[in-house]
Amino acid sequence: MNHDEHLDHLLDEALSEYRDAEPLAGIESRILARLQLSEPSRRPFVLRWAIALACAAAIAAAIWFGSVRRTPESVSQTKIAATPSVAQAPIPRPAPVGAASGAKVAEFRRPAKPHAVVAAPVATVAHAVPSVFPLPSPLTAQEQAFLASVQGEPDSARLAAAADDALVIAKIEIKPLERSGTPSGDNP
Amino acid sequence: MLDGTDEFTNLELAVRQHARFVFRVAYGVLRNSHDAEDVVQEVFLRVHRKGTEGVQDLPAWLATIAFRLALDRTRKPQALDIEEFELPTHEPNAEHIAMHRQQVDRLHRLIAALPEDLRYPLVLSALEELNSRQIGGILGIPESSVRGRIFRARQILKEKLAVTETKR
Repeated sequence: MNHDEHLDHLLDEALSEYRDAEPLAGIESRILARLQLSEPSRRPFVLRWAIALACAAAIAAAIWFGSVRRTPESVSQTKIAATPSVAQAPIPRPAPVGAASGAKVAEFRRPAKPHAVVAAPVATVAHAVPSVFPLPSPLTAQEQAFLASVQGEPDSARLAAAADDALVIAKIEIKPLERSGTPSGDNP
Repeated sequence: MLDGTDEFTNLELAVRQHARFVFRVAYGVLRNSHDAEDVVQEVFLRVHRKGTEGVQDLPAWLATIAFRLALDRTRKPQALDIEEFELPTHEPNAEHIAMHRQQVDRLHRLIAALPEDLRYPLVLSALEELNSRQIGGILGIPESSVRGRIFRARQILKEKLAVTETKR
């Protein structure tokens, strides 16, 4: 073996270290374990499509319900229901003696709740044109009771109204007191 | 289109087939087992995220990723210059180390001192899985240049080794 061949041989041997380099045992397992940890949310193809379809169906249903609820009649009804009336407004009551201060705060805040609750539907239908303007205010409890009685017995109600019209109240005449000349036994 | 399970099965197959080869590519650049394994993990993580769709030559593609990641990990070279590289003729414990082993060690140091444009073609040529065309693809140079650089690198190493041997 001449010198050049000897050097070639040495060189090949030195390079064989790169060729024969081996990682620690179990490198494949370590890589696969890390890959599985890297994306735990990775789902099978079918499951991903199923979730996507379910989301799409939910969105479509929400849009459909929204369009149904936005018809003009329902808008006016929604507005009526949303408008707080004096009769429906809760009357703040005094807090019971000995109640906690937190309960008092809640009591005072209560009237504000209806506005907060109805704010969303009014805002959503703000662009819709109401069928009646100005919007009628809801009937009071007395009006509703009267309406129910009229609807239940229309004839008697009409007769009662006619009787009210025909009723004449006689003029009340008050005679002046008469003075007698004889004093009473009670007065001295 | 592949199902997620199929994708992972294919990836697992690729890991089992090519992990050690990818390790050797990274090791050739880094000369450190732990760093090389980190690079291998990073390579397969990228494959996992991006997939292998459209890849013609999977081993060469993996080797390219590994090579670039390993290069990113290398710090600035330790200012070794092959022209000024002088090996000590007498190691402190040279008498206790076999002559042959000493020569190989010196060669490793010489290889490490080679310029990168000569060192990487030489190191990658040591891997049986890669031919000159694939090495050219990894390094971004023509196949003929790969052969020329390997030849030049070997010449330089032999000259340096011969000089150190005559000094002994």
